[in-house]
Amino acid sequence: MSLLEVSDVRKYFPIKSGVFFRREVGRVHAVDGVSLSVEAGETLGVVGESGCGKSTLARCMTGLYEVTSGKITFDGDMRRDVQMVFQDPYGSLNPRRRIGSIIADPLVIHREGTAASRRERVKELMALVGLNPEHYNRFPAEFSGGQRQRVGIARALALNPRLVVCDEPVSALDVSIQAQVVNLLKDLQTELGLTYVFIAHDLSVVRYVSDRVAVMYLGKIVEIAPGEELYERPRHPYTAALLSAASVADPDRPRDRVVLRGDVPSPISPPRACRFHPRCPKAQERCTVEEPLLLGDGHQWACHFPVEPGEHLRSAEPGLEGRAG
Amino acid sequence: MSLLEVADLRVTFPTPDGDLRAVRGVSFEVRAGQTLGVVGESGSGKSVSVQALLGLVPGARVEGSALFDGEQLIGMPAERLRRIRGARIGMVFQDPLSSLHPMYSVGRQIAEAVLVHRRVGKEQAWSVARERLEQVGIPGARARDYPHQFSGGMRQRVMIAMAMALDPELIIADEPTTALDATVRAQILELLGRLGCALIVITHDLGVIADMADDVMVMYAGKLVEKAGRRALFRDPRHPYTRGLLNSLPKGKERLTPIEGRPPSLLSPPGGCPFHPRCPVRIPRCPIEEPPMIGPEDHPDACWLEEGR
Repeated sequence: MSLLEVSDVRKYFPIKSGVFFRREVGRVHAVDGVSLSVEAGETLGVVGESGCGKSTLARCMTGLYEVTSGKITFDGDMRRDVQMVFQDPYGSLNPRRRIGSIIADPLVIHREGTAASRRERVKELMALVGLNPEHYNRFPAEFSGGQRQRVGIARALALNPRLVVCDEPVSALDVSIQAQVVNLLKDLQTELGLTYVFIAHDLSVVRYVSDRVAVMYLGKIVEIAPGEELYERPRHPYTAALLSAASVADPDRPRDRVVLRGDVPSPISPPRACRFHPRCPKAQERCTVEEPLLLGDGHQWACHFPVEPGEHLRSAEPGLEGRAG
Repeated sequence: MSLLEVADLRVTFPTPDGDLRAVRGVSFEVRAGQTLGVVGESGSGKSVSVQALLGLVPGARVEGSALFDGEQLIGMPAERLRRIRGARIGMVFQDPLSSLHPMYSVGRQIAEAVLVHRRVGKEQAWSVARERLEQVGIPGARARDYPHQFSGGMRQRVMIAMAMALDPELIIADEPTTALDATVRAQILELLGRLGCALIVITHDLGVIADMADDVMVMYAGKLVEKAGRRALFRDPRHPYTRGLLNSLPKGKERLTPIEGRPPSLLSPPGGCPFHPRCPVRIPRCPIEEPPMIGPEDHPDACWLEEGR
């Protein structure tokens, strides 16, 4: 059995209007029918642009959000064994509390040990993530961004979780610090046998840490495959465009960027059938009427006209665009 | 001759804890039609060093020399500087929403810039505005729309249209793609690449540099540490900081080699070479004596090891 099973999960946020009755006038379809499984010991990467629902999916997986429909099953005690590392190392630590007490929170909530044993455990955790245990009594303001992210990781590890969901854990950090935190996460995985769901918009970081990668677009998974397979042989046109648009520090890389038309549409009223069709260079009649299902074995994609190996997608004309947004 | 020639630029912010020396003696030049990439991490002084030239860092002490087309920008009266800033040097910032006025239509904002700097009628200014919007791929009919009616990527295009409004000789783009998603970022990079005028791109994203810069300068703790052509910088990085930065980026599945430690405080930067506390190849001389820019003219760097090469 998989460690975590997500089946047909939907998460909608109501949009309300009016002063007294707060009528529901619409819904944001943040996650709209996602199914996937996370196997013990692996790292599942989730990539996508802002508004694709990757963070909402993360919060559903950790139980921070109640799902609108669908089911999430975890092989164990979800409240203890699933923990989360957040993006913003500034916003996710209470500035008025000492580092030691922040890291001890999960222990206190779950009534683990005595004050003295908790203090020992916190010092152990601080050493584990590369912080000086003597800094136990310091405040978050005394730490740099990279160190704060280590505090967030120590807090997530306090209860010896089995699954850690990392939501953009390094995107707020400078490049040289990013690499330190990514290496730390990798080492902790080997040392503690952790399973990760790693959410990020930086494709090269996701490639580096992940065994499998899922690509999301407007609340849906459009492609999921073993990491190298996905990066070398993308089948969904969106994945191909995303990969070609990625920032690569190589001046000799051929500049065959696939430039897509317009922006990501609003998740309040997503396009019908295939949600990518208004921007897709390969879209045909069928894409506007029939929603493609996520099919395949190992490497799955949701597209009627997938990219063939060796095929070159054409860019949108740099001309005029209609109303977007 | 260079379009912009900056020599020994220093920018200091007086604070209650002492002087914060954000930029400490930086020299560079931009040739007409060329793209200069300025790369560095937060606090490296990359934005301040360019903004200070245009009088955009209130409260700072700016010293040194900056000749724009032969005219000294440092110490120039504010009114005169404002004229140059609008008409001959355009600017594109990271966050277009805070640089656009929310209550005026985008066409009006562009037209107004034209009216201030050119002797034209209202009708003509509006037609310039529509033309510029079309050049960045926005239908001229949308000139009457307000900033909130555009998406993030479209707003960044509006900013570019505005920067282009008066056919400037130089455009300064400060983290132009940082707030954007990958697919939209690709559109903006295409657009910036087609501008034709000289461009200074300030970014922390080495991918942007690899994509569009002709020349690159790398900054660390308020200092210039390396200058090179784009290809030379990526193929033959010389300064240990530049090397560390490039090694920190994931390349497939190879284990990352981060730079240990973290950037120094600018209130009390370390003596000698600012990078020495984190440098894997430092020698006894590094903490004592500060290295000047050494090496070939087209690819100098500030490292003592350069002397032995």
